[in-house]
Amino acid sequence: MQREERALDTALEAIMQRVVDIKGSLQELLGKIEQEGERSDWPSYLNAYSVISAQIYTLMKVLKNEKTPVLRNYLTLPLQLSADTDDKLLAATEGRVPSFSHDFVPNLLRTKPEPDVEARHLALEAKMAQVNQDTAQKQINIHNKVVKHVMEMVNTAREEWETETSSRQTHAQTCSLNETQILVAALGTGKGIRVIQQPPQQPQARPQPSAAQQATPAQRKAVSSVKTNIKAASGMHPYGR
Amino acid sequence: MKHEGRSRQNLKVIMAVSHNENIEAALKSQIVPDQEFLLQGSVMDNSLGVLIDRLRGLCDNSDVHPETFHDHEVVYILKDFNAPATPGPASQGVMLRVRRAVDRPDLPHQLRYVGYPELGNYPALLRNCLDVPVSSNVREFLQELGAKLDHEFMAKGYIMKKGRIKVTVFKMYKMGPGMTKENLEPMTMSHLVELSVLTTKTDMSVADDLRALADQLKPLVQLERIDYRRV
Repeated sequence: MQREERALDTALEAIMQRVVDIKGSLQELLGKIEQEGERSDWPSYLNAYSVISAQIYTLMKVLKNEKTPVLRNYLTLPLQLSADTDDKLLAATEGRVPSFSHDFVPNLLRTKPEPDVEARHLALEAKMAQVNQDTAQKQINIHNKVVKHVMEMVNTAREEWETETSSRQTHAQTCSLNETQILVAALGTGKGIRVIQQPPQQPQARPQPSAAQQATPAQRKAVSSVKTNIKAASGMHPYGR
Repeated sequence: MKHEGRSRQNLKVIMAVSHNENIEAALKSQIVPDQEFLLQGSVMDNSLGVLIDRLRGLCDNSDVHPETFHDHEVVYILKDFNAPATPGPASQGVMLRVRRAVDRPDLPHQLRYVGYPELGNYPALLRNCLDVPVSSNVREFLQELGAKLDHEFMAKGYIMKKGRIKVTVFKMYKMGPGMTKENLEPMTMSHLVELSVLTTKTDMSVADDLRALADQLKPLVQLERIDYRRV
């Protein structure tokens, strides 16, 4: 019980905070209209509107939040009814509601349903009185049966849908970023496919590197031009690295 | 890769070349379709059928089976090979690609130049791109020019179009001695997917269509702007 109360308190606090925000934005907008009127540009008005609509959206989100208790299940119980001006109330509402009376809060203090609702209710009661007890019971049973059937259909459909979506999530990989990169690099620069097939000049350059490798260090220094040849040759074969 | 629309555009370029003044005027007013927007991705071989089915639904002519192609591409590098290697694009030379349709020997060879990706925040990779239909002795011609063979590969796959967008899905195969045309070694277990569109410097809006098509293929394929130099 206590937990419910606490939840209600926090929810109300959050809602009030949002409402205060919206009120502030509205006041700002009103002030803007009064002071600047048509002199201000429309984009700034539109900005103000979008701020307000975003705030209303967050308020609705708070109201629909799972943790927010369903407020329509709570009763508002008037404890005191007086036509006299109430200073505290006046202060709390910034001078807009002087007293808690039928003039200002007709909906909260209503003891009867709205007239058209009442009329419809009476019409339904009269219809109910006409039908005899057994037929009514039969109709109720049939109705329940139909509803149960529809519920079952909806549930099976949902189960099917859920298994389908979950199986879709576990679907095998259809593409690989790694392979994309390999292919794009191959297409762009020839990486990985630069060939085996020698350009005609290469075979002559080939024996030189092997000769240089067998040579003594002193000799290697002497034939520095060969060394650059090695570089050029190895540069043609990046796959070897 | 043979493509009617593109060949026609190439033809336009060539016709313009024959009139020097015309091409100068065209270059000046930037109406030469020499810019290519490109998005790349890959699809694993086992999901290829799904992708082709989806592309058929999204692209033009969904009533006929997508056109297939089988191209052989040879890449030459043209540069001063005696110059000392210096870092930067200057020493890397120019890559010239020769494409030949293996399955359609009657079609002309294509000489293709692709520039480096442009810097800047474009919705897709933007690069200079020139395609010219040429005669079959282009390879000898390039070698006479001093270009060296860098690498070559086979590409086999499907080609579709959606409006101005060209869609290719193909597999790359390595080539080398001992590998006959029937016995090729695939690069990976995936097909490369490319969406590209040729446009001019003044018409950039078409890139958004490219992005829209790429989004419709998610999550089957992740098509992105990939700079191959950073891979």
